[in-house]
Amino acid sequence: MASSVSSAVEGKITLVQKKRLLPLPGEVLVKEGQEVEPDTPVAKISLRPGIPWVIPVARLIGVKDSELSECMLKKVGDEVKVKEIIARGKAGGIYGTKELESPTDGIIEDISDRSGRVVIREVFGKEEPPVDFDVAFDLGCRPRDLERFMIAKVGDEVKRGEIIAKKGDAAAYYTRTSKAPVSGIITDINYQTGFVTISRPFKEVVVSAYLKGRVASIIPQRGAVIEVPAVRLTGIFGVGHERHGVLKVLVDGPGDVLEPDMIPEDCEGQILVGGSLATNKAIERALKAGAAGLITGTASYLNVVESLQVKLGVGITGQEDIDMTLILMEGFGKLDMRQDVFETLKALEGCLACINGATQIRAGAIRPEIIVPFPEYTGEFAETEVFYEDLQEGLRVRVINEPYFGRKGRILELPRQPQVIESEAKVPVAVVELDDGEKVVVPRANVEIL
Amino acid sequence: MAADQPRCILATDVGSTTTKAILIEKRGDEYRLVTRGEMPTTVEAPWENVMIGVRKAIKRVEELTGRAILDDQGSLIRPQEGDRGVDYYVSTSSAGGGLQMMVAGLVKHISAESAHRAALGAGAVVLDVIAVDDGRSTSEQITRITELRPDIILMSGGVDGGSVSYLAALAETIVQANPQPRFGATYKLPLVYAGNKDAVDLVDSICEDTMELHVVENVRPRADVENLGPAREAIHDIFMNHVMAQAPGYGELLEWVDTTIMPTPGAVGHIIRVMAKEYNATIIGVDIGGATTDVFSEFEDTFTRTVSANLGMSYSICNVYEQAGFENIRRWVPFACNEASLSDWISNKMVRPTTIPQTLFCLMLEQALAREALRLSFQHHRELARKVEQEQLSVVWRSRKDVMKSSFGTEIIDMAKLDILVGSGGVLSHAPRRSQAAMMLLDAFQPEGFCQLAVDSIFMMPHLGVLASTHPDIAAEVFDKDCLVRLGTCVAPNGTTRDGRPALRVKVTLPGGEVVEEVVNFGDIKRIPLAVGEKATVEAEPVSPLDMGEGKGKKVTAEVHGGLVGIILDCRGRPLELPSDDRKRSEKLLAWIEAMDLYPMDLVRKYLEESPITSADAAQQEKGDKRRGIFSLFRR
Repeated sequence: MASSVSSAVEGKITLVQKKRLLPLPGEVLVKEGQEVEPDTPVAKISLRPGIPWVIPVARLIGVKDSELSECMLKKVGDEVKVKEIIARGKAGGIYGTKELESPTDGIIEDISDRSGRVVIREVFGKEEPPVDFDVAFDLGCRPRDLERFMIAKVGDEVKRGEIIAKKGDAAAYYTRTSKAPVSGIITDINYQTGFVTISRPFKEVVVSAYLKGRVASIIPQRGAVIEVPAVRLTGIFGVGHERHGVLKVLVDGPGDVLEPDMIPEDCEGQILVGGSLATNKAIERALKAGAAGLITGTASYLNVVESLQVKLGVGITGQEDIDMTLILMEGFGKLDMRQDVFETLKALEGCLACINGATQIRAGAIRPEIIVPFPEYTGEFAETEVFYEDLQEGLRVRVINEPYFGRKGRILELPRQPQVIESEAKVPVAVVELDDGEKVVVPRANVEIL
Repeated sequence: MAADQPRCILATDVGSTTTKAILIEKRGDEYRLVTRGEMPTTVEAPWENVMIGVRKAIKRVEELTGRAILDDQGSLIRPQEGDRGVDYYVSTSSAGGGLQMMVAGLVKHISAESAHRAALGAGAVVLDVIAVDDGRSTSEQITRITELRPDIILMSGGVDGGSVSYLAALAETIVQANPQPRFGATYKLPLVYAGNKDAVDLVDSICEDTMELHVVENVRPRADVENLGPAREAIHDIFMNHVMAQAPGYGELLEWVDTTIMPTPGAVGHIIRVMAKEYNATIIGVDIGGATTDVFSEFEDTFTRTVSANLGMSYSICNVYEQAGFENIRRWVPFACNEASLSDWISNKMVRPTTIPQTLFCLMLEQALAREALRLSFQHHRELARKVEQEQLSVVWRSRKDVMKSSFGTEIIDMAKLDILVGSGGVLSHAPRRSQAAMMLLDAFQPEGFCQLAVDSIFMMPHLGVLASTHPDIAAEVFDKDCLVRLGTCVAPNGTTRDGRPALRVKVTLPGGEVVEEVVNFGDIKRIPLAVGEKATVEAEPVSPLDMGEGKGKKVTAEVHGGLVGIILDCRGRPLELPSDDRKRSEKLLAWIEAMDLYPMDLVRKYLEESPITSADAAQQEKGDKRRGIFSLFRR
């Protein structure tokens, strides 16, 4: 894997910093100054700390809601075990004093004198083995008949003591039930043995470093800032989430169309680079071959939607459940990738790239990005690029709307007065000499500076 | 003091796509618009500061007027002295993204349903609706709330004076779930409480440490009364402040303005209400922007505003395409159309929102998309523009189902009673021919009877709306003299009949006494010139089964206003249905284009020759066929 900096990209390296944060407070796993890889876990959290049990304790022990706190034997934050007595009603009455046992192991999260309820949160502290139990035996039925009596199904979350199967609807005497012995998720119902399996997965959210770099600072309980000298490019639209892989350029020039036969068989895990249009067959082939990402100038909108099975309507992407991240550098239809962008990617071929297709095109705009880290780089960082804010005569431009879509040229003149165009609108225009010598009048809003 | 009687007022609107600045001056005894400047909104990289676009728009106004408004440091010069500076500055804004909400209520089909509609009306994406009777256990609800990452929670429930205990339980459920906002670790999640007013203190005490509570009027103060406006307004205000907080540079803009920055839809709605009162009329207004389309209606003293957050002409244009579908877009264009090329063109507009159509073909496609965006937004508006009124029937005689049905309310919008239809937004205000704006409004909204049509001349309704909050007289004067472009009056009978049959007999008495008589066949549209400021008397006799509002075949007489388009006799049917056969549809569209002088016919015929519709039409074409239709025009 090439990691040294070539002269072609040396002037483009900046210090890239990324905040890597958990959505909720959790555990930070790295230290300041630590070197990290893209897959290095930076922070983690158990997203689902356990099923909440909301128990109407006041009603169950026969006291007023407002008297609940006086009757509790445990307080908020206390750990309780199943069957441990957690509340005791007031003495007296013909039924004596009522007591309430905890239905589960957990931690008391809330005691409310307004509603008379107590919330106990089960805690999944660690991975616990799945539990199998004989539901057919509980119901007294043949295993193959079990399906008729199941109330819960595979994938359902159940609580300890919850009825998951029931046989008989008539008088209660004839009804038999089977209750979940533990809380968790039903992962299997075996109609040959009559057993049901409940798993208790330890659900974690892990935030990775995303970049190959260094931990610049820690954000307590949330994550860290990762920084690295890198070349960073942004596209115009993307789909798919963070991935990384080695860059592989498949075409010779920015105007070349990416066809399926250009996709190598052994591109699994690589980030492929095309030129202008990537055909739908090329996208499908790259996806099938296991490429981690595809960077190209453009693709057809319908092909992206159909090949990747995504919806693009509201222009907010990045969470799609697809196996390949696609980044369009120029848009849709057929447009050449910009020459300088293509040359940069070509110079970076063989390097590790960290990409993210997330796009949000409204305020707080997010564009898809390609970051190629150079952690060993110790030279000077590039200055911020100068962006021409106004068109000027002589500037090289590209037309980005019909009827000259994609064609490049140079601005000859910027008439001061607005002019009437074919649509009959009167707008500020630019006179552009296209590369083939044709002189055209184009609305200024329809050109972009190259 | 300058602010009380400003001589020179600057107003800006920071939109999703462009930032517009207008200058208003007092000349003699009247306030008039001087000029307008427009530049792209600079919220995205590399600028990432809305103030850059605001300053550029103001500089454009400086160039056009020769007046200095900004000093060397780029700050506003105040007050006005000679030809320098301004006395007063106001602004609106709509640059922003989507709003995600969770709604909670006591009863699924009563308070939760009303709260759901309030949230939708404010333009939110509703992630879930939690209700005590929604079939889920409390712990399931807590688990669900924990999983969601809403921007705002709306909580309703209980009639005023009713029980509070269930509301306390609902509030506790929300607090126990500890929902986290999408943005910001330190951001307190806003909770809008729109339930039983007697429970306000209780809800406050439950939520005080964990959530930012906003209390508004009960959405269901009585079981048979619905009051969605205050909740919608609150959501919308929090939405704009929340979303706008994500737009960089907003803090500096706040320091510049002389009054609160209003969200653009709020400002447009405000001026619509002013208009309705001024003209004593029922009004529908629409503002079609880059990201959103906002519809406002004032019917029977009920004002309704809806924000279709994902329907617009640039950022949201792909969603218009996806929601409307290719067939609904191409039906408005008389030429063959290739879906692959059209979708690429649309998606490029989404990622390059400031581009404009140069060719007539692209203009017609853009206006076809606009029709669909307007239609879908109005559909959304009609679903929400309802009110629940006190039933006259005895409760004893109604089944529970009837009670539930009555809680949905009656629709307020009645197109036969619509007096004025006003359009705003670039695609309408900047249409090269005013008749194009008129047709987009007619095709999307399909008004019936007599209805005046108008557009905002240069999209300054937001500016005047915010100005009206502090200087209503100035705003009304400029609105009447400079903002509103009257297009004319549409005369449209309700109903359908056989194509080609006589549909409407009209006798128009023009100013000066000239009488024009017309017979319009079903399926046709005609124009009678009547200038701005002129009025005419129209006797309209529909041929049964068509109806002008007084009964089938009954003649109706009314005084109508003129405009740049004139009197439009629209007998294309209500509801308007285009022929299913593509050739017939194309012929009809061409006839309407010619009758209304929508586009230059020589260019229309040229495109028709290049891309004719045949019997085996583009609908049966394979997607991506590059040899036919629109793609062949795009290839060079």
